[in-house]
Amino acid sequence: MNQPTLPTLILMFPLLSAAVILIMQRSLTLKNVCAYLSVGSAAVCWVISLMLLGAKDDTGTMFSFINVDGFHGLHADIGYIIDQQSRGMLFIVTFIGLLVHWYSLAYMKEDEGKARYFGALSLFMFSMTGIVLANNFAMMFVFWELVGLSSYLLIGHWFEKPAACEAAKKAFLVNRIGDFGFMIGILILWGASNGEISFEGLKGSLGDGHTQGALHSAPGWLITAAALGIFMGAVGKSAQVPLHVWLPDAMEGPTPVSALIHAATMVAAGVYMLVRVGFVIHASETAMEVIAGIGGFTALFAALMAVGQNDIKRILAYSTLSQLGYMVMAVGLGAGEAGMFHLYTHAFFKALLFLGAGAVIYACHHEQDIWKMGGLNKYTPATSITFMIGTAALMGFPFTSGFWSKEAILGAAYDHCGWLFASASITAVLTSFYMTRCVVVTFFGSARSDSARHAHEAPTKMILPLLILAVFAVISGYGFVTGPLQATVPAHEHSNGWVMAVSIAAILVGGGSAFLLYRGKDKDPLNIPLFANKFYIDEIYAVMVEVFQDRLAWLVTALDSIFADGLVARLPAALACRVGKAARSLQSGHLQSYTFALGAGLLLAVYLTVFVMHHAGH
Amino acid sequence: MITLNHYLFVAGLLFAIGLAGVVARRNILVIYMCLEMMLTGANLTLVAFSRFNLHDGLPDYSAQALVFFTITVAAAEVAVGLAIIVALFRTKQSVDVESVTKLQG
Repeated sequence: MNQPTLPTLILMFPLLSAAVILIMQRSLTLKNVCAYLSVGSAAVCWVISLMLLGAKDDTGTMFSFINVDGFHGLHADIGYIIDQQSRGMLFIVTFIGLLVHWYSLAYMKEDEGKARYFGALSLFMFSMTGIVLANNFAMMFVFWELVGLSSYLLIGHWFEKPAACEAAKKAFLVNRIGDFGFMIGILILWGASNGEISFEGLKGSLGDGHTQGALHSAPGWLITAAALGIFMGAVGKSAQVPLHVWLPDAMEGPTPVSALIHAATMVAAGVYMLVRVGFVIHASETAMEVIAGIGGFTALFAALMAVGQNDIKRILAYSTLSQLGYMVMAVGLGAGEAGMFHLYTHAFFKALLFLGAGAVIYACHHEQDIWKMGGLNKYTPATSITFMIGTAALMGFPFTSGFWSKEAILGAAYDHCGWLFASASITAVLTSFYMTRCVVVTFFGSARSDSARHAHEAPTKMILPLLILAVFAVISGYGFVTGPLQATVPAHEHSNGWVMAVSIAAILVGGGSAFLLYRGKDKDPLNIPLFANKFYIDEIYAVMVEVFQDRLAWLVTALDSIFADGLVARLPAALACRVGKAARSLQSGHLQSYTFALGAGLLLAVYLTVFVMHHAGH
Repeated sequence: MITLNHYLFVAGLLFAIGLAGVVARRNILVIYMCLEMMLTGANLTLVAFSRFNLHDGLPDYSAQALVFFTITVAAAEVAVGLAIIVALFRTKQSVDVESVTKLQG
């Protein structure tokens, strides 16, 4: 197949599937057809991504979308870019996507809205592929928003639950705030480079030593502003502080959705984008520092909050926040490849953990509180073992994939900034702590409730993806895997002994203390309300929004009643009424008034004709 | 001497009184009579002009012929008008012109 068709196919197949499902979704008999159609399209996309792994680097246009010349001009097209980064990312997206689709066949088997779910999943695959393939900012922004929409649809899948609707709205709105900054960043770049919006064009305009364009001579503060604006998009999408509040609430959606969107792919889109436009970020020292700082802070902050959580999905959500913080920190430290590497390994083990959590929830009859589980080692061995493998990879256990990627990030922190290294190390200790806590409370000991006592292993359709992901969680860090899968791996310079020692120490300290503290306990010995209540940030935001909104609403009401209501609406209406009333008095219906008016008019005509015009004529 | 102006004055007076009656009276038949009075004023004007603007010692008979036309048309108009008034009376049961206010807006 020639080059332009493969990317077009991988983009359009899920869209086609979503469109067909949209038409068929109301039919009660065709629900399973919709599900299989979606899984089929995911499989086809995966196969295409495998084919693309061997293709050569390419970039081109699929459809020309906007072509406006003139002042600055705007040439935005739906195009594609195939390079190492996008090939690797496409593999992850389609592979994990396929596994999640397969898993969902079992998890959502008895769900009423199955067709709607698979339609939204297909829409998500389309949107995410669009972000990965995007070769210009306009296309990326469009698909960025589409991904946000798919996320909204999927989080709010069980829309009869008010909590799910609230969570979906929250996710979308918080994302929009980030997108506002993103848009501003894009517009600054577009303006400063005199009309360039594609990544190639902007890179050339910024100057890579050979060529330079308008962007090269733009003032430093402008580039910083653009970089920070673009980073805001990543803050929203990848849930960094302060826009992290949507991710834990997004756990209201079905667990496979959490695995695919809120762990492996969508939230990673922010990191992917930052690495893709790295040339802009690297041009501004301030932006780099801000990004690294926010990333490091998010990692630590989220890890602290995770320690106080009791819902298995929330623990994993905060863990995702923390790991995303690591990735963003790596980008800010100039180690974008380390960030992408961690994204890649994280995708596998986090998806594994979430799907495992889904299996656990399924086994315990939809119980999500870890303090009501326990002893699942006996009842659900396969889920147990795979979950523990995932946890090991997350903690950075030696010889798992997570070890290599985490070490790369810690190494970058060690090389560039002492504070961030310290913070990242503490985060690593906390990560080991809360994950071991989760595993010990959920799987070890004895069952704490009936639903745990009657737990049974999940069906094969759900276990198979877990096994596959567990294998990848271990091996994906090694060269024989990263090579063919085109993962971005940082050059292994020197394995810093100090970094390795710290990382292993973190595992021992964190994991060991959690094991000792939680083994055999029936309720949480630690009770830190600050962490458990998420540092009260949600409450603070609620107050802020309320205050701000009240003031703004008062102002707008005042302006509205004076201008829009009074000047534009009521004044003309009153005038029309008055004039109308005056004119109405002419139509009295009284015969003699009409006659009088006739007579008066006649008199006036005679006067004018005889005495005025006659004289004027002569 | 009785000049043209005397006749014109009387005719004008007739017309004015007729107009006043049309505007100010309430009984529709009285209004109608005043209307006829206005026509009479016009006729008198015509005859006066015919009698006082002599062509070779003889009056201008075309004006007097026009007066005949006017009287005839007035008669026809009275027939039609009275028919309307009778129809109006049938619906309103009153000859008061104040009761005809359907067109009030």
